[in-house]
Amino acid sequence: MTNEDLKCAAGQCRTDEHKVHRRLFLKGLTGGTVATVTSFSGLFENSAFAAETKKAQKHCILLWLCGAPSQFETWDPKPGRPSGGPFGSIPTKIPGVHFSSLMPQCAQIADKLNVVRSMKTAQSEHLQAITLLQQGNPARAGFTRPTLGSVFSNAVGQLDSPLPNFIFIDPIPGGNEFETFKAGNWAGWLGAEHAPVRLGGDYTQFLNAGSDTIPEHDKETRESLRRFLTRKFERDRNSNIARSQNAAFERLKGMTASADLFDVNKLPAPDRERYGPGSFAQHALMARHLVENGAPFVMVANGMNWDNHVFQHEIHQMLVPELDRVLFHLVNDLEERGLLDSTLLIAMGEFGRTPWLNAARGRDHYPNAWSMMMTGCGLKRGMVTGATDSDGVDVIEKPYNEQNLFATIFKALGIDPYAEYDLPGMPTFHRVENKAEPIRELLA
Amino acid sequence: MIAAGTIRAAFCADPGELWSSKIRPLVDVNCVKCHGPLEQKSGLELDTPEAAFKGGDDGKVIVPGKPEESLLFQYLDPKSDPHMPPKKQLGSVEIASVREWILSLGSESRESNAKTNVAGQFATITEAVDGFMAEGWSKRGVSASAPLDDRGWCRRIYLDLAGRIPAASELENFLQTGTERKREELVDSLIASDEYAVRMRELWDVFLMGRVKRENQEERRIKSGWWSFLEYSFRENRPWNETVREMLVARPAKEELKGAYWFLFERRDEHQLIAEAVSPVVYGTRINCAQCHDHPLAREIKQAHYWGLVAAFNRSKNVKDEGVAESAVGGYVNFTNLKKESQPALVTLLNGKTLPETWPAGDQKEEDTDDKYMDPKAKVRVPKLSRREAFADAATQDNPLLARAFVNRMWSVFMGRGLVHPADEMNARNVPSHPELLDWLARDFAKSGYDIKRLVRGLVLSRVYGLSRGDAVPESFAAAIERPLSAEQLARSWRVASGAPKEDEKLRRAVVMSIPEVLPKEYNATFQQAQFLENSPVLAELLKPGAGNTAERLSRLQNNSEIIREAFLSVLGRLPDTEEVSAAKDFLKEQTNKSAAGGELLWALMINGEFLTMP
Repeated sequence: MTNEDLKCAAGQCRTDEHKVHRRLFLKGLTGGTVATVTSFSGLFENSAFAAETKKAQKHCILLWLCGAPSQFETWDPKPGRPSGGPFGSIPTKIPGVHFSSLMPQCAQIADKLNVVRSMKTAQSEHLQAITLLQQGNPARAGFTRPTLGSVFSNAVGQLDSPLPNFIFIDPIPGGNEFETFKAGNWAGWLGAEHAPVRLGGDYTQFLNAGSDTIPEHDKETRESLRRFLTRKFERDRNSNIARSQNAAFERLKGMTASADLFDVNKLPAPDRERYGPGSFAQHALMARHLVENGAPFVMVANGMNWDNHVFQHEIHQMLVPELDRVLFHLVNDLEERGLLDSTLLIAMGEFGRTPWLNAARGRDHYPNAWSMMMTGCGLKRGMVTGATDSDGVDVIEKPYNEQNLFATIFKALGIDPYAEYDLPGMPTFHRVENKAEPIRELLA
Repeated sequence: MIAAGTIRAAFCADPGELWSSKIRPLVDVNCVKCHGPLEQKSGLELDTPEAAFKGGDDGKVIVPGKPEESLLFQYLDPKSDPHMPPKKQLGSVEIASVREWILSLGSESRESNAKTNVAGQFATITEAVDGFMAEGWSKRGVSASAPLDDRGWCRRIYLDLAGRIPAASELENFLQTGTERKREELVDSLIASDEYAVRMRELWDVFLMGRVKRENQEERRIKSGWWSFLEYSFRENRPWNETVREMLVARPAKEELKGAYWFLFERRDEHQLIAEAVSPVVYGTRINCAQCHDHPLAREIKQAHYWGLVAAFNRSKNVKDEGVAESAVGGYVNFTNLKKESQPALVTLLNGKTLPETWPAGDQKEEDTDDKYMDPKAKVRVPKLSRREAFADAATQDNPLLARAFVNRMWSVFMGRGLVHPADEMNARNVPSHPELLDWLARDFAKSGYDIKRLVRGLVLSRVYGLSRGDAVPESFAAAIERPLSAEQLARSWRVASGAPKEDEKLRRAVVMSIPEVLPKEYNATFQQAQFLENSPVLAELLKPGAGNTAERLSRLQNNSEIIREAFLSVLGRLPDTEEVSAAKDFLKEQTNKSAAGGELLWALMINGEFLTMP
C-alpha cells in the first residue's frame, strides 16, 4: 500500500483501513523501538510512548464568551469618542497598541497575545450567530455541520483516550438561546462519538453522585460483575450493543479515575486564589488543569453573561477584569508549563456590541465590526491585525469572517482547512468552504 | 482486519450484494454528482447497476467479467487519461472493489431474481410473511436460525407489545400453559390491553414528532391531548389512514381526538418543517434533499414535490391555545433551484398530481373576504376550500405509499430493520430486500381498511419474528437482528424486575433524557448514558430493599445460591449458568455491605448488556 492509499478522507475511515493506519502510525511514532504492541490503549501504559504522545498532542482551550463582549471595553477601545464609553484606554506592551483600561494585565502580556480587530460576520441574532461561530461556515439547510470541538476531536483527538476529546465546561446550565444551542447537535455529521462531554458545576456532582452512598470497594466489585456479564454476552451473541456498552463504561471508568480533575474544589488552592472567585475563572483554571492532564479540546462558557443590553458599562466593569485576569494567568501558566506552543487559546463571543447605547444604557448586538483574541499553537505572538474606523462603526482594514477565522485555527493546529468530508449520500463539504484564506499575518 | 475481509469476499461473489455493500456507497460519494439524476456527463449515469451497464454517449463502460477491458475500471488508474474522478484518486481498496464487482458480473448467468416463484395467494399475513421469507432464504442458500424457546419468545413479545418484560408470574403462567394456540392467545390479550396503546403511542410520538429535547416540551404534548389522541387511536384501532388524515387536517371533531392538531401546531408555522415531517408518513421517504434541487440520488423526488408539500400547509397558522387556522388566500410562492430558475409551488403529490388551483394573475392580490370561510367569526378560521384538507384527502385515500410506509415502519420495529432500509428512505435509491412481500403487505394493509392491530398480530406470529439471534446478513432476516430497548421499555422493565410500585414518572423521564434514541440506525452508548446507569439516584432507589420488592426478598434469603437464582429469574427471566453462578458468588463474597449486596447484584444484572437488548 502506498502512502496515497493511506490517506483517510477527513472524517471517514472504513474500519479495515483504520486498523492498518493505526499499525503504521504506531510504527512511525516509535521508530520501531516499542517491541510488541497488542493493543493501542496498552501503549499508553508504556511511559516512553505516553510521553511521546503527550508531546505530540495538540490542545485547544476555547473561552466561549457567550452573549458577546463589547470590543470597546476589551480589545479595540475608542477613548474620547462618543462610542468609547467611560473606561478609556491604556498602552500595552506592544508599542502603539492600546487595550481598554479594564484589561491592565493583558496589556502587560500583549506581546504574547494576538488580536483580530476586524471580525465582520453576518449573523446578528444569538442562536444563528453562535451556530455560525461554532461551526465556522454558514449553515446549510438540512445538514448539521460539526462544531469546532467536534472537528478537533475527529481530526486530532486521541483514540482510546482516558479523557474525552471534547470537554465542554459550562457551570450555568441555562442561557436562553445558548441553552437551545446546547441542546442541539454539536457533532453534526461526524456522529455522537465526537459530541462534547459536558461537565463543571452541577454536572460534576453527577459524576461523583454514587460515591457517597456506595463504598468504593463495592462499587468496583459490582462493576467487575457488570463487565463480566456484558463481556460474556458480547462474546456469546456477538453483540454490538454489549460491545458499545463496554466501551462506554471503560470511558466512564477512565473519567471516574479522573473525577478530581472535574471538581473545582480539588484544584490547587494557590491557583484558585490567583484566578479569582468567579465560576468562569475557576472553570478556566479547571480547563488549564485538564489540558495539563492531556485533555485535547476544552471549551469553557458561563451561560450568556456578556449579553448586556442593559447597564452594559456596569456589568462589563465586573466581567472584563475577570476575563483580563483569567487570560493573564492562563497564558503565563501555559507558557511556564511548556504547553503554550501546543495549545491554541481562543477567547471570543459570537459577535461584538454596538458603538452606541440603547435606552437602557446597554450595547446591542453588532456583527459588523468586532474583535477576538487567540494565541498559542502555530501562531505568532504580539500581532494586532485589522482595524476599525475612529468610532468602531465599520471595519476599514482587512475584514475577516468566520471562515477566515476557522481557516486560521485549523492551519495553526496543523489540520488541512480545505479537506473534504467523505459523506455517502450527502453533498460535498469541506472543513472550511470557499477556500477562505486564513489570517496569514497571525500564522507562525 | 483486511485479511478477514478478503476471505469474506471469496464467499460473496454476488454482484447484487457487492453493489449494495461496496460499490453503491463509493459511487454515491464519488460519481453520482456528475453521473446521476442531476447531471449526466457524457450521457452516462452510474447511480444504478442497470444505468451503468447501459453506458453513455461513447458506448459501454463495463464488460461483464473483464475489469481490465472496462472503461469504468480503466479510468480509475492514476495514470489514466481521461481519469475519473476528475479531481480525486480512489484508493486501492476502492479500486479493488470495483474490479471485484465487474469480475462478479461475468460469473455464471444469474437468473433474474425479479419474479418470485411463490404464489401471491395467502390467507393470512403470517402465512404470507412465512412464505415469502422461506423462499428468500432458499434463494440465498441460507437457513434460518433456531426459533426462540417459549421463555425467550415470551420476554420478546411482552417487550414489543406491552413495552416491558413479563413479571415472573406472567412468564411462569405462559410456560405452564399447555394449549397449542397459547402464543396467539397471549398476543391477542396483549394487543387488547392498555399497555399496547401506550407502547404504540411511545413509538409513534417519536416517529412523528421526534424525541422531546426539553421537559416542558413533554408537558405540552400531554396537555394538548397529543398523547391521548395517539393512545385513543391505537386502543380503538382506528384505521391508520383516518388517523393520519386527522393529523394533517388538524380540525378534530371529537374530544378524544382533540390532540390531533398538535402535529402541525408544535412546528410553530414552520411550513418547511411540517412538509419534512409529513413526507415520511405519507410517502415513506424523507425529501429534505429536494429543497434546493431535485433529489441527487432518488430520481423520482423533485424539487416540485418538496415545495408542493410546503404549499399544502403554508396557508396554515397557529392560533395560540386554540388550534391551527387556515387562510383562504395566499401561500403563492415560487421556488428556485441552484441555477436560479424559478417555478410556482403548486400543491403537488409525489405521484405528480397537482391540486387544481387558480393563481392570481401577475401583481393581482387575492381578496381575503369573509364569504371564503365557513365561519368568518371563528377563532380558528376554516376556509371553504382548504388546501391542507384537499392534500390530506388525496394523501390518505388514493395513495398506496401510505400503506407501504406504515407496513415498512412496523416491520422495522419488530424485526430490527425495514424491508426497505433505512425505513424513512423508501425511494428509488433503496431497493427492498423482499419486494414482493412488501407489495403484498402494503396491499393487504390498505385492503383491510388500514387495520393496525391485524397487521401487528400477523407480523409477530410469524416464524421470522420468533427466530433467535444470529450472524446472518441483516437483509436476509435469517436470524433476529439485535435491537436495543427504548428508554420507556427500560424504565418499565426495571420496575418489574426490581418489584417497584407501578407509576414512576421520575424514573421514566430520567431514562428518556439519558437514552433518547428509539431504534437508532447505529447503536452508540454514550459516556453520559454510562454515567446515568452508574450513578443515577432514581435507579439506585429501585435497588434499596423495601415494601416487599425484589431487593428485600433477596435480603431475606440465607443461601448465596438461592439469592443468585432469584436475582437471575427476576431480572433476566432465566437461570444462571455455572460460569455466571461462580462469578456472582465471588461478587457476593466481596460485598462489605451485606444488606445492600442483593441490590448491587440486581444492579449488575439490570445494567448488563443482556438486559439492555431485546431477547
